[in-house]
Amino acid sequence: MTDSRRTITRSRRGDLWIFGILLVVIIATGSTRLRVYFRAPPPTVEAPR
Amino acid sequence: VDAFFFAPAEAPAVRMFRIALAGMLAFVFWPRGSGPAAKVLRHPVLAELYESIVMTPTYWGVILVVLALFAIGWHSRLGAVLLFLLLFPLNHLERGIQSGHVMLVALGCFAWLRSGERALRTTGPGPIWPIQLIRLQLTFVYALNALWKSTPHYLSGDALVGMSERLPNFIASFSDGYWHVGPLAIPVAVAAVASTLTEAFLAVGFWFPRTRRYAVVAGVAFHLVLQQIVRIFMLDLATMFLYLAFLLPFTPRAAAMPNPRSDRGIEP
Repeated sequence: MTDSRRTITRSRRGDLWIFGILLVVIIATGSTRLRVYFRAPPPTVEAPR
Repeated sequence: VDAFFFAPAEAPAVRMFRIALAGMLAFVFWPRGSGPAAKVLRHPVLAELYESIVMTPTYWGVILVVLALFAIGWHSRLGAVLLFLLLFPLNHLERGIQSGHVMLVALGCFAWLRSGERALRTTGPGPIWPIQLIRLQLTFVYALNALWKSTPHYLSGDALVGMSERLPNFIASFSDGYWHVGPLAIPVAVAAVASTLTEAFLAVGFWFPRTRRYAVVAGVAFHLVLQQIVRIFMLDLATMFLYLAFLLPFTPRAAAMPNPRSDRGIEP
């Protein structure tokens, strides 16, 4: 493998790492706030008499 | 897979997206009298920094200058990084956190492209993967919502009825189990199922050229209807802005691309 090809491969691997990290950030932070609204409310507990 | 990540992005589309992004960032983050969020005010040092630096006209003036330079393509990559850092504190105000977040993530992805005018004229903007990330961002916004809405509680309409009674930003009232649109009374369960299906379609529809135009129409209609039901600040506009990642010609048209299976190298 020539030096230039090795450099390209390394640069692409770096790009893929950044892509993966950003993708995780997007999924982890994406609209999580809305989720609470769509959940069923917890069952209410009756107060002891 | 190689084309998905490393096809060279087209300079004219990157230029258009850069200018549109600058305009949209100015619009979404424009000061509207909103103060720092409660979680910021809990820390005295942060509250002081917000009062003395972030909430001042000078701070916004600096942002406007950087935005203008970014828009005209003067060292836009550096500009994108600076804008991200400058706008990040403004994404912690009382209002607009969701829409600001969508725009900041798009900016954070776009910053990996060489979007400055000098680079666009010489080396080109580089591989397309940052645009693919912005596309995936749009997909996840819709897909996660569709996923979380796919519960018996939401699909029965109960969640919407409860939200319309509880949340102050709801305009429509579903308390009788119906959504009243003029003379029509639509059962809330039907509206809940329709919104879930629409978001599921929007999550995948943009990726296929054949369904893309229907996705755009469905997406715009969905957000227009949503504005009649609930106020979500500028999340509608911020989400629809991401449609540009699919609509601008970031890659050459298929007909002009060389076909490796063809002996002549060009699609017949």
